[in-house]
Amino acid sequence: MNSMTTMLRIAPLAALALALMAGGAEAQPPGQPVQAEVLVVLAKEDAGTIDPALADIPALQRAPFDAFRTMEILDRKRERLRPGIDRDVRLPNGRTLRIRLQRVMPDGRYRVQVSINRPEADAYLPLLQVVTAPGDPFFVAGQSFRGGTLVIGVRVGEASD
Amino acid sequence: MSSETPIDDDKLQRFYDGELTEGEAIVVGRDVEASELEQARIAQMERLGEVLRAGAEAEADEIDPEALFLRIERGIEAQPSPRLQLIEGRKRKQRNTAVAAVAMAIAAAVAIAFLAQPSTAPETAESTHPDEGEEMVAEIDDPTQVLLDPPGGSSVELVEFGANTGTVFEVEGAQGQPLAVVWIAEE
Repeated sequence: MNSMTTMLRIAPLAALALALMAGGAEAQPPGQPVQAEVLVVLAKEDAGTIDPALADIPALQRAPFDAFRTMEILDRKRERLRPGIDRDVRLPNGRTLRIRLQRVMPDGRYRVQVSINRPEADAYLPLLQVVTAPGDPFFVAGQSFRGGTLVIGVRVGEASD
Repeated sequence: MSSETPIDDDKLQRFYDGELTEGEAIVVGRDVEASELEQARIAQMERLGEVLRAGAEAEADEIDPEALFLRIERGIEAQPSPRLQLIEGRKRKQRNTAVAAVAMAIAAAVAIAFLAQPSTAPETAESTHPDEGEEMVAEIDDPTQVLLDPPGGSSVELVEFGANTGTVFEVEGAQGQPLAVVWIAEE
């Protein structure tokens, strides 16, 4: 292998290392906790009110969520996620939402796994794996509860702005 | 507005929802009147709204999750809009090829390396990131966080519905980013 070939092979790696140093990269020690929020909303099609606290989640005002004319926040839990460690959130219907930060991606997004189960019963949601930008939610909806539907929003990390 | 320039999705939706200011509503209403395309889009919104509300009046106290789920699913299919995309039901696995992803990550890093200004203070240094909508995955086991302005939104990589029936779709976030929704009807 001549030196030019060697250089061509090493150059991208060197550039990557340089980019990480020069581009504002901030090393985060492995295992450092990441803030997460689990929002549990009871949504109904009956006429009613939308909890004003949901105003910062415009997605819930858009189709198909806009079919719901009543939205009540039942629970709002904050958790600190560590890579590879499960955190359990008890849902109002007796099920447990389990969330795990699988990894922090090189581009700053998070890969998380979520499951929703009830002890000694078939899992409602055996596995969900999501990649999400800091502060951007994803939703799991459809569980029947108290004449309505549970809409669960999960937000990992905080938006940088 | 020229008939060749479609009205912004969000604005048209707010027009349909009656959320525009009086002045905006007049302007958008005029554009809709003048364009068959915009009228068709409004008609689509109406159809979706009807589908989603169809069973609500018939249900008094009890909600039928299966019927609701069906209406949601059909409603999504009835509205061919980028704002609301039906992705796929049942088990879904989305993985990009590692080779392409690593190549893109390296390409991005090379670009950043050349653009970086050594004299810039770390706290004020700006970095760029090519937001192609592709997942940028490099196989780095060490969970190092790199502040490179990640692509916004959330997306489902893998879902198992077990004994239930479900679907995955996206709704639009505040900045237009796609947000993942997993909707599961209990069996």
